[in-house]
Amino acid sequence: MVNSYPDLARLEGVSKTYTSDTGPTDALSRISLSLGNSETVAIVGPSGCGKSTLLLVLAGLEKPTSGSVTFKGQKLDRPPREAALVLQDYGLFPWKTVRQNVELGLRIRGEAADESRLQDLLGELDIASKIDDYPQQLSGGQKQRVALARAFILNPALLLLDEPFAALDTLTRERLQELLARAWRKRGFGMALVTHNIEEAARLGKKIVVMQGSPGRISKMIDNSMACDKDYEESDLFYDMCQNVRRELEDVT
Amino acid sequence: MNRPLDYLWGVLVLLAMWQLAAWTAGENAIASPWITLVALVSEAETAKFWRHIGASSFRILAALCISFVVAVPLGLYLGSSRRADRIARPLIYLTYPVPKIVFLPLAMLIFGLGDLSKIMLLSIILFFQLLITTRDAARGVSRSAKHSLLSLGGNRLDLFVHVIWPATLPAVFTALRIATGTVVAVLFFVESLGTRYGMGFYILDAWGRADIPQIFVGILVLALMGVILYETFDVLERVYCRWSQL
Repeated sequence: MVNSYPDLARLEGVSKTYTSDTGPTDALSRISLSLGNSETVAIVGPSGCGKSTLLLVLAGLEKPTSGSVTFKGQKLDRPPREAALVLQDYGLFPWKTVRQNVELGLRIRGEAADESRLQDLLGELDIASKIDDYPQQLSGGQKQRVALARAFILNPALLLLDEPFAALDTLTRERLQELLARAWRKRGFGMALVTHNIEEAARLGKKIVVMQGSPGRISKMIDNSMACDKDYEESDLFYDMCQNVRRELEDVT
Repeated sequence: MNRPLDYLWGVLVLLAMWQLAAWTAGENAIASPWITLVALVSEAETAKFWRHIGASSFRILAALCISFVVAVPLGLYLGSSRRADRIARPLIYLTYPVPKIVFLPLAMLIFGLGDLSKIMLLSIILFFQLLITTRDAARGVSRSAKHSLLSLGGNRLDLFVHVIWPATLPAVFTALRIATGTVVAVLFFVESLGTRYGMGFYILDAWGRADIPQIFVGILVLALMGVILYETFDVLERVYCRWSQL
């Protein structure tokens, strides 16, 4: 596949088979995909088609059964330091305050947290007043903002998001989509986003990967270069893109 | 104690039931609360009584410490390693249901008549309760929590320190509370043989002399020991698991 971006991450013929007591299950079959620097990819597909597995492989948390995964040209055999993962259930640790959650990645890496940078980041994400709260004291939207702050503070080259806004109400989801697009415009990280939401995929993915299941494979790649642009979702092009993605999804579901 | 009013209510109900039972059964079978209190004050003036309490407290605390130090790390490990759990599970499930109290004579043969045999037996009984609860809690830690930590660059040690241990801690406190009930109950049996000190011996000795008030003093002291331990664990949980109380 031709890619105008220098490679940030690349999957070549990646297959993943899980083995359990009930026998082997093919989750991914010969997936090839590249993600350029500052490129955003939205991965859509029916439930169980291997989208999340694909993301975990990209995150270095699942090893492919066959095929290769590289990050910045290096073989990926563990989570890369320059990637950050945001999960649907936020992945926050309830025993840590907002501050402790956000600073944890830095602490683990032996880096000191810059207080003014932390405050700026929490301010940007509108959660500065929650710094000493525990996750249980936050709303779903606030929790996801904390999860984003924990990712952003690491200055990731690659941001991986697994249905990050699926559990949120429509308005909160749209606000966070806009916040994510703004953060991408400001920071320029590469982004791989797994989502069930067609509008979300069209809004945030410059490349939309449509997957089909049993086993999970790529059915279609759609170029969507205006994603993350301001006011894109107000245009007819955005509407057409959503219809296009919908048709592709209907074909594979 | 942080809930004096709750305790006042509980104590009043208990005293009323106790007094009613004493009236019904007669003072020769059940000493009334007042008679027990008088006997307690009198006993508290003797050094021997405190030696009984000291011996029991030492055995309880030693058994809790030993079982905690052995069972909790092992439970954390088994809960986070499927392979290790698969190997250890049959051994645990085969030995857990065996009533360990029947090993008291054997423990006395192996470890002698002194404190060691009693502490070891109490420790073995507590070990299983702590091990299984801790293992199950560690096994219940979500995949997403582990993924989050690993994606931040954490290693296996970080996973234990920042995820598995704090996630498991509330269950460990629950296990300690359950274990406290067990240890106080079993203490009575293990102190019935091969010792002249401890609240178990104190109660049996009073029983042999048909000293009903002293029997109830012994029961009251065992109950108070349990309360002190429960409250200690509650305080520690509030300090170390503040997040779980929100």
